[in-house]
Amino acid sequence: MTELLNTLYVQTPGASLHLDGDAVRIALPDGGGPRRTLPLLRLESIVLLGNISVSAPLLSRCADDGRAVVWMSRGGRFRCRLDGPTRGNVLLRHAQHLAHADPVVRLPIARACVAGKIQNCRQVVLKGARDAGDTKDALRGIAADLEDSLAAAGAAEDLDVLMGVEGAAARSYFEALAMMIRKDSGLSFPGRIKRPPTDGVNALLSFLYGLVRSSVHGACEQVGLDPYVGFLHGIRPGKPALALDLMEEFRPAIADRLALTLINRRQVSADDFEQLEGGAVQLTEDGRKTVLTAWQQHRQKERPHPVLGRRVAHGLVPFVQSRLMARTLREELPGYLPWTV
Amino acid sequence: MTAVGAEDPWPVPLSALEHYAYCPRQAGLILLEDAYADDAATVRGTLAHHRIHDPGHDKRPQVRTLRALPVWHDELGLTGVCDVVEVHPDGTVLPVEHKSGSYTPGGPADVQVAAQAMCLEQRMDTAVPTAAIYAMADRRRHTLAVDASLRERVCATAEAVRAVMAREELPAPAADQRCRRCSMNTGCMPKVLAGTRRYNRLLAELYTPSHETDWDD
Ligand code: SF4
Repeated sequence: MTELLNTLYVQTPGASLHLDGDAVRIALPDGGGPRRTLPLLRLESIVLLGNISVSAPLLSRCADDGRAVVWMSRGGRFRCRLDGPTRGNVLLRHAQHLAHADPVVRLPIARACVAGKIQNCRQVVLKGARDAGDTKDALRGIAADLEDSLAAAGAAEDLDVLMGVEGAAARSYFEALAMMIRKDSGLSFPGRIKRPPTDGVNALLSFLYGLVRSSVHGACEQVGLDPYVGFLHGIRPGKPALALDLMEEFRPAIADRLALTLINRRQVSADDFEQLEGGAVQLTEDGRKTVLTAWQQHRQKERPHPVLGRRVAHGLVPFVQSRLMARTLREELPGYLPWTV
Repeated sequence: MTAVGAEDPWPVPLSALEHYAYCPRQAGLILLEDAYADDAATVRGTLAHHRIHDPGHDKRPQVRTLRALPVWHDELGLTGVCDVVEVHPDGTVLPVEHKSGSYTPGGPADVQVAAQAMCLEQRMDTAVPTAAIYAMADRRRHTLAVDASLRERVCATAEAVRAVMAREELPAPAADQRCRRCSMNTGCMPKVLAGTRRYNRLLAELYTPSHETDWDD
């Protein structure tokens, strides 16, 4: 299995990155802080949050090595990425385009993505019910609703119906998520609000989703899939539909669970968010640091992978799933199997 | 791959002969999916390529050593690069292929280096009856005769590789002990592809609520 290398996240405003031999040197504004260099060999990608500059020599070195450089907003919104040359595999991309154009192939893959998401949502809710006090029954009820949604996803005869099932499941799941946030955490969840989030929990979710998305996007490219041609999310310019498809199964099990843990263990609290002029809410620099540290640890943690039959680190699951998708599209596997916990 | 004329056979990379001889699917993954061996062993192999010198030739200054020499063979449709080609004072030409691992007599590397010999015969207009493989694992040079049966194997393997390229379909996985040492294992997924019963069972269960999981955190 591909080694799980590190991602370097840089978020200090005004910081700049330079190539220093075979290492990256991070210069903080006003020359403050300790001098930091990291060997490039250990870095899989570099993620820049907000206003960070990167020297041209470092960029071209990363392009040569196939090490991705990703730009994100401070809120974790994906902006762009620089990668080496597109990995060949034109046959795979061609198969992907044909699959997208053929409803008989496209629909089962889209269904599988939704099923993976609902299975994992349900597991998150069941876990919540186990830990809950007075909301136990309500949570068990939502888990039962999700079972119905799962069956409905399996029976969906076209994409519109499937999208409807997915939307309904998401609404009841987010109701459950609101119940799973402990009252004494000082935070509460008003339902999913994106673009931009106007409360702490949504800001945290958006940030984590951005990290998940960036890792899934990178895995697609590494495997040679076109991240922009999806099955559940169709084709729209600027929308990495396949990355979004594959991401569905990871949202609940990876991002939401991590968010709940951070909030309920009070590792992240109301102080870690700031309200901007106009009402948008985002993580503070310290808050982001806490979340990124937790995210890096989370990536190293392993879970059993049902298809591989062994434990795989969270950070590598997107690669495994992209490969399963590729093998499905090349008709070597009879269908796409999402990662279910 | 460059465009080819209608009469010319598709050029087969010399390295593909070795890959195919090891496992046909390995050649398919590299040629059809641009897969590349990305495990640590391969990286070490690449580094070793640059650093370690075959002591076989350094002691003999009268031997001319050509490195990274591009070669090809029009009729057979072969193309590639020789690691090292030695030109001895008596005019003998000897291709020496460097391998990071150990040497298996009659193994895949024989086919590759024999193909180099056949290319060199055409390029340098001379007979190349002998080829060598330098194995870094035992730091030894193993010479072999480029005889008729080996030449036959080169031609057959080249045809087989060409057939894979034309079909655009990956050969079935070996799914045997070869896979353990194979650098393509991660992308190839031989176990998953061979374990179709398990996979199909999981597919059939996808819309059935799964057992309550243990999060162990
Ligand atoms: S993993 Fe096994 S089947 Fe796949 S290319 Fe390697 S040897 Fe062949």
